[in-house]
Amino acid sequence: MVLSLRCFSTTAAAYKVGCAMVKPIHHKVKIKKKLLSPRFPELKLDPSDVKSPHFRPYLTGPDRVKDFYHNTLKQDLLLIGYRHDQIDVEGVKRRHWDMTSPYHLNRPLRKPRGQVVPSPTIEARNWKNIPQFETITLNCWVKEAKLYPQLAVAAALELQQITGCRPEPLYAKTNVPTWKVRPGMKMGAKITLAGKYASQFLSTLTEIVLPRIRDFKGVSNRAGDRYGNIAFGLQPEHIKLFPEIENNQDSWPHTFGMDVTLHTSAQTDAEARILLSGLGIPFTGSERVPKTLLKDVKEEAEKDEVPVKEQEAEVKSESQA
Amino acid sequence: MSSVSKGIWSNFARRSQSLALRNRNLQKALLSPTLPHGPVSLKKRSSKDKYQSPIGMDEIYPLAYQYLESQSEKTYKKIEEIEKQLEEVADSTTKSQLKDRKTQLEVDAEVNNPEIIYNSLFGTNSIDRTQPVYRHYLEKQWKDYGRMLIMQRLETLAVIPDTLATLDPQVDVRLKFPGNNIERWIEPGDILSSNATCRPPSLEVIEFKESKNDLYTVLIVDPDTPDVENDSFSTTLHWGLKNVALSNEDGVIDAKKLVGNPEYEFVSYLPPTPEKNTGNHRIAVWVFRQAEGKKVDEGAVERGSFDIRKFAEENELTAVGAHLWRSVWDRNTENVRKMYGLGRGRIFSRDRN
Amino acid sequence: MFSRLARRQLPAVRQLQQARLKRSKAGLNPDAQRVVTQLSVMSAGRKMPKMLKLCNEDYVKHKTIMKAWSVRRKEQIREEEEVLKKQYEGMKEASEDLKRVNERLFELSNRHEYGKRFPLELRVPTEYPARQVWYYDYVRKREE
Repeated sequence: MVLSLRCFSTTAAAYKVGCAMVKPIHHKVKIKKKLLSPRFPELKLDPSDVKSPHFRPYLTGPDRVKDFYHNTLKQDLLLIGYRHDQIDVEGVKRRHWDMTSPYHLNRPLRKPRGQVVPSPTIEARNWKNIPQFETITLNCWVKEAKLYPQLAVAAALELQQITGCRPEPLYAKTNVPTWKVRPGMKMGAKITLAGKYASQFLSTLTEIVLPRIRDFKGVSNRAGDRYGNIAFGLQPEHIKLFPEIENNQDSWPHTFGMDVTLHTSAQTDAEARILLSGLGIPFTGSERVPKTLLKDVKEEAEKDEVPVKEQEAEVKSESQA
Repeated sequence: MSSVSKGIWSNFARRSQSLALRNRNLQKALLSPTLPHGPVSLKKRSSKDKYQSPIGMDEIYPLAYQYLESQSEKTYKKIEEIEKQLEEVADSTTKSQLKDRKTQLEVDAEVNNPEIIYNSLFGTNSIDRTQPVYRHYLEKQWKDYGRMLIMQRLETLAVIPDTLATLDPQVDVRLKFPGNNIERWIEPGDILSSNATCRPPSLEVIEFKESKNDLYTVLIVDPDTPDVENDSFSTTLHWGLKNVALSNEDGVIDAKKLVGNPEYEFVSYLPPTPEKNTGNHRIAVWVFRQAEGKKVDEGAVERGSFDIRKFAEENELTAVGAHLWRSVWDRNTENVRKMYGLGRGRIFSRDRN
Repeated sequence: MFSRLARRQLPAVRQLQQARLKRSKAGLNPDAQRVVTQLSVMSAGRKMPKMLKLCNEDYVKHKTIMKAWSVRRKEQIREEEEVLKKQYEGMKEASEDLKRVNERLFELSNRHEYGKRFPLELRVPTEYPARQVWYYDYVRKREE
């Protein structure tokens, strides 16, 4: 008897298999079970629908930092970043195996030369990739919180007071017996600001806080993570200059310092600094730019190549202060 | 009070009247900044009295309306250009491309009109399906629910591949049985009593493309008829309709239409009467679109051992929609069998030797 | 019998209730009370705005307003991109011309500008400008 024939008497036995089997599907329609369920009809709505519980109004007021960027900075940044005949600077990518061994087959690719993770390709400047200020991350790690856990709560409250957004707690991840740190201890708070909250924080920072720090020279020109995000620190006494804290000094007998990271869509730190200087962040110190970035113009054929010795080059940056 | 509409959306010289709201009070509410007659859509007196519109909406709404209306006017200009091109062009492929483009633009021109949004959100049963914009909204709703539901049921109940191999759904098929107290649209896969299914169902086929006079074939089959000799199952044809002309205005196949056009029915309706202990029988309704201008010339087809795949292939039928319900033996089955003169049904029992 | 049982259990119940009363917040020491207050400031309870309940007409109006707003924004983004594209193409054309006319000037103009900074005096405009908008006799501080 043909096994594929469905039997009237012994249907179940004929179809029993000895291993787990994924049933085949005979059509191409994507089925979202959530939409078929009769439960929670509101949750099926699109978040942009006012009846959805996920609805949040956005762009409810003018944002002067954003307007300034679009009306003034963007065109200037395109002009500053433009280089004629610019070419993409290839990043260091993962390498293929040379296939000398049969075990190379289906192996994950080799690490990039000299680093663990691949670096992105730097694209030539055009009208679509002009650097843009995106988000701010405030990271407040309180060392003393390992002895006094309530300080982590106070730090979170400080972040909320300054930014008007809800912070999320930070927990210790490592076990260091000498420091008395164990995984799971609440050690502070962090917050990521975007949109109007980021603009608000940035203007408070550049117009009220930074100008009143006595010994502040500017953010170091060496700061940055290579891919367009610039970070610097604020000391506990600098936090006291935020108007939300300053006007309520009795409630803040001691404040906590924090790390501020300014995230931009710039492809390199040097571009990010140009953008941030336009938004009112002063920079100080000498700047170094990777040599590969300086030679990103199409070479003429007859020009003889000068061998590049050093990896980075000092760039004279205009003094600001 | 003056209307917020100053342009194309209040001009019905070239637009269909069905693009407007039928209820005058509702229309007035959507065409004025505030609600002149209060919240008409609220039914309870107390909630009507309590209701307040959101603050500031009366100032912004006219601006938003006029902005979208001006966008729509631009789209109508484009449509006019395409109409001019259509008159000049003779090539058939270009012509069909232009027609598609025109339909798309007709949707774009009206898709943001508040009256149309209201109609398609809250008045789905009575909207004019000849208008592309309404068909657009109907299709969206169908894709978000009806299409997924029928495909899920067809798959889980293994109607595909037990009857036809697969289905690429293009039309929404709705089904209901006349009489008694269950005159409602049947959800695909419901188990219905033999009493409910004893008379032929009425179907509604909703096309989402423009359809003037397409011909359809409808087959209702039961793939679970026991075939004891071969120790297997066979398919029975319960109802066969051919050359049914349907369009966007009228997609209904009901008793009235069948009485008027007796040539549609080539196999009369046989109600599903499952024999005892044969389990649930899946009764699959298949809707086929016939090839353009091609008629099906089938005489009387044998009901038992019906091969639906062969039938579809021989007559060049494309399956475009499906529906299904399930029937099971119940205490009324014998009555239905008697009504149709089918004789007493067999009773199966487990053979224990 | 039940009533007797109940009467016997009654004091115990009362005692339990008293024990509950003792565990009120009033007994917290000031430091713990402080943390409780801080946490309650951060908690989300009672801070969620009420959901809008709209009648069908207003719901459609709301949808219309949101749609018009999004269409307008899309339009603005497209316009801005067009301007930038024109600027880019203009720069490209000008550089091409300069390269043909004068190689030296072209090389000068085509240097990278990585150290460039916007002047610190550049301000993000405010809606309410200062009383004195511009310092006409401003002299930039000399660096030593």
